[in-house]
Amino acid sequence: MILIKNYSFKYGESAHWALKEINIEFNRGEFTVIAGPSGSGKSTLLRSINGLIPHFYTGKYCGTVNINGKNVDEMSPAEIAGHIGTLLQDPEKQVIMNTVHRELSFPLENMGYDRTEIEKRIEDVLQILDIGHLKYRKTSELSGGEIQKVALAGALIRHPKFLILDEPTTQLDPRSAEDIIDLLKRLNEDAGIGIIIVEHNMEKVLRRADRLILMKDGRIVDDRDPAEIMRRWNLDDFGVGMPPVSRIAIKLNTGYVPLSVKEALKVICSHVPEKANIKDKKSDEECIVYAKNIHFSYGSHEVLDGVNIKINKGEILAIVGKNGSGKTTLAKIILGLLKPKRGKVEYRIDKSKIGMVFQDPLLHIIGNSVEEDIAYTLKARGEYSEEKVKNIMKLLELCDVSNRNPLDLSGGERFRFALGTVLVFEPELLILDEPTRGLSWNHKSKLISLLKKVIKNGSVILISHDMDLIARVATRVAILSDGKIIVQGPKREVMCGTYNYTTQVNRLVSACPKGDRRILTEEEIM
Amino acid sequence: MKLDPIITTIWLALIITLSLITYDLHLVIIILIASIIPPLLLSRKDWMKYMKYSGISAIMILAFNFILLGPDKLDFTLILIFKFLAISSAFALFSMVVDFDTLLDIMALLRMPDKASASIAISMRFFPDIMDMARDIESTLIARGIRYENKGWKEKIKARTPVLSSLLLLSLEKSITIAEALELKGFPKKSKIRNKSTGIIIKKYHHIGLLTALSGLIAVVMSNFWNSILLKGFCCLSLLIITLGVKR
Repeated sequence: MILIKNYSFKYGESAHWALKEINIEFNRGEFTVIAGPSGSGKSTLLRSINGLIPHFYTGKYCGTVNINGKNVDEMSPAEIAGHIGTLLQDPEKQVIMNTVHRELSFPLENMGYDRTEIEKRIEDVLQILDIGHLKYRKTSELSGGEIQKVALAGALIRHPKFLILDEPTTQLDPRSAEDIIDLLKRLNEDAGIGIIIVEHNMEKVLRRADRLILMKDGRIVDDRDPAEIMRRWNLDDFGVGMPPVSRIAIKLNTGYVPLSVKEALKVICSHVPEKANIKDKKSDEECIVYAKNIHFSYGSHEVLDGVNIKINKGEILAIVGKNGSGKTTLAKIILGLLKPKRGKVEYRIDKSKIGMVFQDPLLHIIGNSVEEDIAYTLKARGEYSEEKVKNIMKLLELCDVSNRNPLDLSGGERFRFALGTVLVFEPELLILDEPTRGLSWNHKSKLISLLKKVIKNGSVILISHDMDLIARVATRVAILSDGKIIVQGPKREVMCGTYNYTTQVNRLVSACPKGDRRILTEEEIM
Repeated sequence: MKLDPIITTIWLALIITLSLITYDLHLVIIILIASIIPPLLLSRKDWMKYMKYSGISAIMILAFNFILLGPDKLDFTLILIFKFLAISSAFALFSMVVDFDTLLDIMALLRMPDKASASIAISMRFFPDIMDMARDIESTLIARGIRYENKGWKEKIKARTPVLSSLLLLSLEKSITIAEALELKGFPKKSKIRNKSTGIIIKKYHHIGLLTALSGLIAVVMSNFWNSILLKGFCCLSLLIITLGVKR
């Protein structure tokens, strides 16, 4: 059991308390979701449980955190690790060893287990996660989904009583994300492991949860059954994305809050319009970039195998596909960062008018302040204009943080900053790689309206696993699989009626006996 | 061509130690040449990737020293740059040949304390990551529409300079994440068990290599007291033997 009593914490010399008077208890066998806006103290709470606070992050604190009756202050990191397994937000950073076998044996060696026990546990954990084939693989060669499972195996290898996870599905494609959550539920039910998970994407996780803890400003606002919480609070106010079916049911005043499509069938189907008012923007036929028969491989691993894709003027083309399917590689080839092994990219615009915002906005840091960094783009291109810099900061709502170091920005601000460093030179083709990665619901909503505002004339390639974002902003969608574009076309033609590459709303509409099958978003139902 | 990981580790240690303890320009040039030959034989392309930023840093050191110390101290500046390039080149080869697991096993075979060997191995594992990070940051310049394909070398160097400061910031972030991950894995360990995962073993010629390297080092230390051509020649010979010995 984990017992937190009257616990408050603040980092270093900070004047602001990250956690305030926390009183909470976690029991084995519970599946708990912690939700709240950015900066509400979710990650700090996890760090207090797994001992990173106070052993790694120092600061001022009062109150106690006890694991099985023992205060974490008095426990060594190795001892805490025996009780609590942790999966960080970015598993690629958590996996530090070269091979899967070494990665899994390292924590056990640290705990002093003998070789036989180490081998037994490695075999066991690989089997339970169904990744026995990865045992001797190099960690650098694994796909995003595989590395996530290896990191999870590393957290499980010490047979912890609790598993704590910080946004484990952020980087995964929809299928891999479902797999991970299913796996957690299985561990919870079959092995009685207590799961404590911080997640923004409620659609996948909430229906499996026993308990939802809502946090705001370092305090626990509510802690009870998820459906009950959704009846009491508007989760949008907490920066938490409710499952779309729940939001629709609440808005329709159905008196029942469904957490899944199955539950929603009973209460929402009768409200689905026969013919929705859908007005999609039509794509311009004028092609600006044509990637023709593109082949690319990393060593012997072929990533792209004859990709043909056109990007038209003024369109937002979404490229979807599972982790490791070559989406980012294709974008880098179009940008000119990588050279295809065969095939070529024909440009009908100036190549220097193509910009890209990378998955990690921190890579865009060059200067010491937001303004300096945005100005750098124009200075290096020999096009500096103070007015342009000011305008872009105003458009992206960065004026208040113009003098701040980009490292000190929040998740949403960081993305807007990275977007600013690229948008300032007015690219004719903008490539966005996973723009909503790690963003809370309110930041994501802001981003969607911002994208609609800033992308008016230029074309955009949008690489994302976020089907909700794609449904709202894309004009065309292409699915990349096994190195090939298997289908591309207007978004509704491609997305509607699929299981993986569509929204929860469309899955619901498809399951209803009648209703407009083209519906993708909740606004189209309402 | 395959290189022997244990001799490569000894070679790296020799290059670093010699570079740190000697200030003789001729000897430093020989160390630099010795540090360049094996990587060029292995993979020129990969080595160049690593050395790109070392080259830029070397030019910056030259300019900085020239401004601060003036042309009189040129020989000192050159020694400094050659040493820096030799160590960088040796590290580049090392990270191309010896992976994390092998290094951990080698240090276990050399009976180094576990806490120290794991820390060194993890730091070395960090080196290729930094190179990847540098490439990624450089990519963001192109992503901002800043292209230098048809520009001169001066512009290219000027464009890459801000990458270094950005790299420093991100490296610090990365080191915090690694330290955090280690803490969560219960590092340092409680017992003496550390599994060998690469099946690497020490052979007779490894002992010969180690002895050759040590005698070369002793010769350099002694040459600081007795400025003898013979001692320097002996050091160069041992360096040559180790350099040729890295080939498996």
